[in-house]
Amino acid sequence: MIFIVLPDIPTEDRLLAQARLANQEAIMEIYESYQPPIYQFIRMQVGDSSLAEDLTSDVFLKFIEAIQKGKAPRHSLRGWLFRVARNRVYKHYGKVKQFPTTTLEEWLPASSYDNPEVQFMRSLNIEQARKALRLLSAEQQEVIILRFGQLLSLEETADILGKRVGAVKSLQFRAVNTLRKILQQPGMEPI
Amino acid sequence: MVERDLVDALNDCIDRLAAGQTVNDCLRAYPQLADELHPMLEAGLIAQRARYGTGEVDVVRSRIRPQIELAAHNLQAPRRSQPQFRIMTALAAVIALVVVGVGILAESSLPGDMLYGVKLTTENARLFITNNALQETFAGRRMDEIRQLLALNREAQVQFQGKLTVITEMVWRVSDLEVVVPAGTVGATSVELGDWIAVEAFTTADGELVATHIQFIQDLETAIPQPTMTVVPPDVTNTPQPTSTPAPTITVTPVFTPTATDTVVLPAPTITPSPTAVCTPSIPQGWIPYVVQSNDTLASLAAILGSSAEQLMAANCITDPDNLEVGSVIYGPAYATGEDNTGTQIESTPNTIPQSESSGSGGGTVDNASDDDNSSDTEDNNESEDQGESDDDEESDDDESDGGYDDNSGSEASSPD
Repeated sequence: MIFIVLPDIPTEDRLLAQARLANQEAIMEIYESYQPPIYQFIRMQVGDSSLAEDLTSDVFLKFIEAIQKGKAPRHSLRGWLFRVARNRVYKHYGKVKQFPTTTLEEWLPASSYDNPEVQFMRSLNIEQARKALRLLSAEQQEVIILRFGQLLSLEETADILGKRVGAVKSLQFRAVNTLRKILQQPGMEPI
Repeated sequence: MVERDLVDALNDCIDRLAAGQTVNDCLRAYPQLADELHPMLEAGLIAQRARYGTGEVDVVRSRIRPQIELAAHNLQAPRRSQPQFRIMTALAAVIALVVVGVGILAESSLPGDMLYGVKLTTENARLFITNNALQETFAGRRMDEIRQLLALNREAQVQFQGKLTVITEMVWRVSDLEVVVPAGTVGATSVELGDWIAVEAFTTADGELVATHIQFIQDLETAIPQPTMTVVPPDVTNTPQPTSTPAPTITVTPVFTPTATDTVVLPAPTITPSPTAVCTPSIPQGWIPYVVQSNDTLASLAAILGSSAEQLMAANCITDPDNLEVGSVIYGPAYATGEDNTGTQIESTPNTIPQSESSGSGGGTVDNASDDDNSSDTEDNNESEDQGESDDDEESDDDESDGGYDDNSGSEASSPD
């Protein structure tokens, strides 16, 4: 496991300290704050809302279990929660690769400045967007969701994914280009 | 290298987006790479397009919330985390050092000196620590011997020690053993619930244990300062006085006879006439047992059992009709309503002390002597510290209700182990 030092968030740490002492209000506040991003993260990957619901509740129940066992994190709660969420998704689906990934050399050059590809992507509807995402490999989905979706920092994303920052940089590069390829497949045209 | 530049630029652009900048801001920052960056960024941004609506998110949050609340509610005080534990143990060490330090200072003190009381206390405490394990074994053995005597209806003089857990008008419970303590018993008024006491008593041919002397030994909860979460505030009035123990050999077990200095003397199996200080219950033929429930009164029992209050009192030797002990057995002619005695229907021998069938010597109380929930209280204290697990729930509850009444009801069968 690669340990990355993330900057502490004072309010989060205070809340976390209380939660570690089994303070119910603190625990519920954590739940209220973090359920949305955790749910999004899971939901975008699993595509089934009731499954996503179950997995999401698992994450917070695990948090409470960790408090009971004295193993809840002291810092970087968000990262901890995302890591648990990843685990839950993997447990359910396994780390299955779905769409062949691109290598660094295969990034697609843009055709012109007035870019039809860009226009196409902007015109995608929600369902197409979701469908395209789910065709990525698990890791690629995660990096896209965390970096572009949640706008988390490179360091925090690396911490959650258990990778070095350099590896995450490459991963996100590959992921966006794979996504572009997916979107160029037949069947992804605008309806 | 172009690709490397692109990888880095992409990353930087994502950071800019996270910081609130737009795609165009990023493209302006990297004009030569803009053509390549643009579709990459748009591709990544479909993650934002794919987001699920707050409606769905909120609904799910409400649906899950009860489970989370329940789990949070069921959280017990969690295990101590490492640094806190270390601080606590350090504190405990400091306290222990101070105690020992004062004790050392007091070492050379004499009766009348200011620190003499400290000397005795520390000696008692030290002996208590070292002897505690031993003492509990010896005490346990004495109890077993007494139970055997009672079972055999053998009369003997006995001595034992134990923790005083129940005091009623006539009967006390000392570490699981029931002792009849008649009014006027020496020392009976100077001890309280929770005390570790020594009892001098005798067993009767009717299987009763009757006290003659009571002596306070030690207040268990204040023996050693304990940095635990179930600390009972020390009772200042219970520090042993210098006069209660002989000076040269301080023992935790008090001396009853001039010769005994160590632990409790073995009961001598001699036959001595049993004083009839107590009423012997005489249950008429055909009367059946009934286990007292928590809201029973003598009057209601009389109705249920189809007798008069006076008859019940006389036959069962009920001296304090207002304090019927829950779980104790009262005999009566019949159940007037024909209803079952809930859950604890007992055949003719409810007591663990074997009696001859249906004869009148049933005694007023049931001793469910099989449980250890009283004698292992100090152990339970420690267990609930080290484990936050759910099966300690019951034990820590016992500790909390400890200084007070121990519920003697038949549901003790449910206690763990």
